[in-house]
Amino acid sequence: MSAMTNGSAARTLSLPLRSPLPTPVPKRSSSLRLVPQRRSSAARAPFLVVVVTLLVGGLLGLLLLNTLVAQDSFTLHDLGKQATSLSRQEQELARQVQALQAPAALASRATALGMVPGGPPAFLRLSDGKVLGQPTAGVAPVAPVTRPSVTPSTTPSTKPATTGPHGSTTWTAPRQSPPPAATNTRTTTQTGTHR
Amino acid sequence: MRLRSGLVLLGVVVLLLASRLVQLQGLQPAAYADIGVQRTQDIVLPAMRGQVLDRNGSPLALSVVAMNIYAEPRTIAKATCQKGATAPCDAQSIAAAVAPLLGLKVGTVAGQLAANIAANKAFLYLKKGIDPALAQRVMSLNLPGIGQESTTQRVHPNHALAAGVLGFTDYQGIGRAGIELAMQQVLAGKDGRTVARFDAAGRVIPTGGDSHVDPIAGKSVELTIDRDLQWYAQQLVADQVAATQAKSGTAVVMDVKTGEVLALATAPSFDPDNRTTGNFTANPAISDVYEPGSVNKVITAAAALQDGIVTPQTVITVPPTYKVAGHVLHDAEVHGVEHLTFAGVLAKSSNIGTVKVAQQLGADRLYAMMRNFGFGAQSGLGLPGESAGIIPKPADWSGTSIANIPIGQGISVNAIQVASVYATIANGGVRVQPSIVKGTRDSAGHLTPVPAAAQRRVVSSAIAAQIRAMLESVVSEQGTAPLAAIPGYRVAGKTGTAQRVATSGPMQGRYDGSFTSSFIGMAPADAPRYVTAVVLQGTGAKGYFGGVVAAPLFSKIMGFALRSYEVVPSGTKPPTLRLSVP
Repeated sequence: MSAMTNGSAARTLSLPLRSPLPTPVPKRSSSLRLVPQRRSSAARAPFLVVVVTLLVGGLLGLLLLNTLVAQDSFTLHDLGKQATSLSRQEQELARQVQALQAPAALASRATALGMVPGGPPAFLRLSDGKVLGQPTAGVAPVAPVTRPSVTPSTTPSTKPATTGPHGSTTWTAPRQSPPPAATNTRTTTQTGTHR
Repeated sequence: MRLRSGLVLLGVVVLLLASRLVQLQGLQPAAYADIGVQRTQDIVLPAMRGQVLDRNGSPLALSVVAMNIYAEPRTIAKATCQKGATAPCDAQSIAAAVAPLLGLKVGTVAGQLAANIAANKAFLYLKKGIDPALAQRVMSLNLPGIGQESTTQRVHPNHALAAGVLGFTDYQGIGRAGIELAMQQVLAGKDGRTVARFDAAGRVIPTGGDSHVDPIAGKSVELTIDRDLQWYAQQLVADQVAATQAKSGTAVVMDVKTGEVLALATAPSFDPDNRTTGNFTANPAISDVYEPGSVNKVITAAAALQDGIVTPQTVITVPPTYKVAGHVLHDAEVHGVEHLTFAGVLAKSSNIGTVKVAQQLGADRLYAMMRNFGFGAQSGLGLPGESAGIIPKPADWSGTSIANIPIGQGISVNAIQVASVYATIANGGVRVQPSIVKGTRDSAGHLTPVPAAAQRRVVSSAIAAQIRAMLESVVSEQGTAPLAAIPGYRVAGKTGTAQRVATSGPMQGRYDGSFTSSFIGMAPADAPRYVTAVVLQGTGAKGYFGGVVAAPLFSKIMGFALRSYEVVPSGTKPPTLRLSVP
């Protein structure tokens, strides 16, 4: 109720404020006149030069920057490709090394060279010079049983070419005569497999 | 006038821009959006999976970058041969060029391509997981419709070595068995992602406003496994399984002080790089439970000594047969009435003597001791798929249980649990929880060791020493396993020969006439360093006594371990215990 009355009051109040129409402005064109321009061409040329130089310089600078960034990006791309290629090469070489280091590969290679697993070693105690243990020469294991479970059987494409004949990791009698009998004062293991 | 012409010019420019906008957004928005999408790519940067290393840092499983070679049959169908063309340009010539490099038959590839062209297929893998260098050679042929994509591949430089421990990953590189599954969270790492814009040549536009999250490589897991020892054990077990025509075999080498498993060899095994057939998830060392047989007599002995029922020199009268609740008990060898010392009962593995002592001991105390030694609970190794085995509660024992369980029948355990019992005896009566993971290595190579293994005292060190002395007589000429001896070292151990319950086939759940043959022992017996358990399942075709088929393997594997770790020979003589009285 009160809002309505307030609103109508406001309307009635606002009317007298808005109502006066703009009074026509008397024409005074005759009294206003353009101020004659001051022509000072001498001061304008350097300004233009500065602006144009800035513009051209800025554009060129931007262009140069963009070119440089793009150039670097191309270099990055090329170097990235090179890095990928090199890391793949490294990966391949590492795989070859790992395959050669595998106990099965080492054992078959050692067997092929006529080596045999070592026998019990002897230990030399430094404090009293006593020899502990009875050293014996290693003998070639007999009974060449095939080992299908540990014999690798990868597809040729993934297997490095240098891993040697995996299919024949059986213990075979050494081709050469066995290595000379072990000496009496070995202090390390004969197997040479533990690092 | 100048102002007006300026306004008109501005209006024309605005109109031009507006009409271009309408053209772009209103008339053919999809086509342009497509081009935009093609130039902007949301790329997942896969995190490199961590390696699995042996205890010396040699990789046992690692991920490498590999390539998949694919064909686009639709593209190949569009390719046309110019007159006198020398380069491959149709399905037949493309197949002829690509097949030899991939190790495939030309006819097979040509047939595949023809079939897929006929079916209007867009994509076809020719070969997955090949070496990047080889893929490069394929790509350098510039064959139409032949492409490559990068992927990672899990490789195992030692092939079947420790395959049962390592497990394997699936085609997505997620661990599905073994360590690969158990340590999936650690190994997997976190994939990164990047949004990049490319130019027409496929190069990243440097000012493209990319958002980029680096992948976090998975950590490597270092195992307690010794690669060389593992290999040696695996060879011997595979040989012996073949020689005895056993169903499977297991060898476990454990460090006595730390509970670390140095070798966990199982046969048959598999090559994780070349899985095609068979049951790959099983690791018989932990998933196969079996009746341990006589090796359980050690627990009976420990309980009896602990409770003061016997001493190693207590004389026990052993009749030829012995009746318990209507069940007639025999010893492995037919004999008259013998008077064995308790040490002799263990050395000769007398069933009757052990059961007579167990009767005095009672079910409750024997059960408590078995549980205390870790039977009936997972070993804590942490490999998935471990079976805890079954140890019946005393309330569930039948009248004949007291004649079976003390000698290792009517209960089931796995090889790790048994090895842990002997490691406890070797470690002066303190059980160290077995472990197979040493720690994790981050990309900088820094090792974060796993928390120290839980320890608990099971029997006193004096009793552990008494048991060790008795177990040394097992390996003597009078005992059941002289073949377990290792030249230069004192050895203590126990044979086990038990009838085996079939785990599959028509006889499942019943004794199938085959045996479980085992030998578990420690060396050097005067200051034990390692425990080795050799268990052959399903023997019988060619020998089945644990002292005959398992003990020689123990001798070789343990000998290898002692030599590898440069353990000084014992230098002392084993104690001579009186085994029998006239």
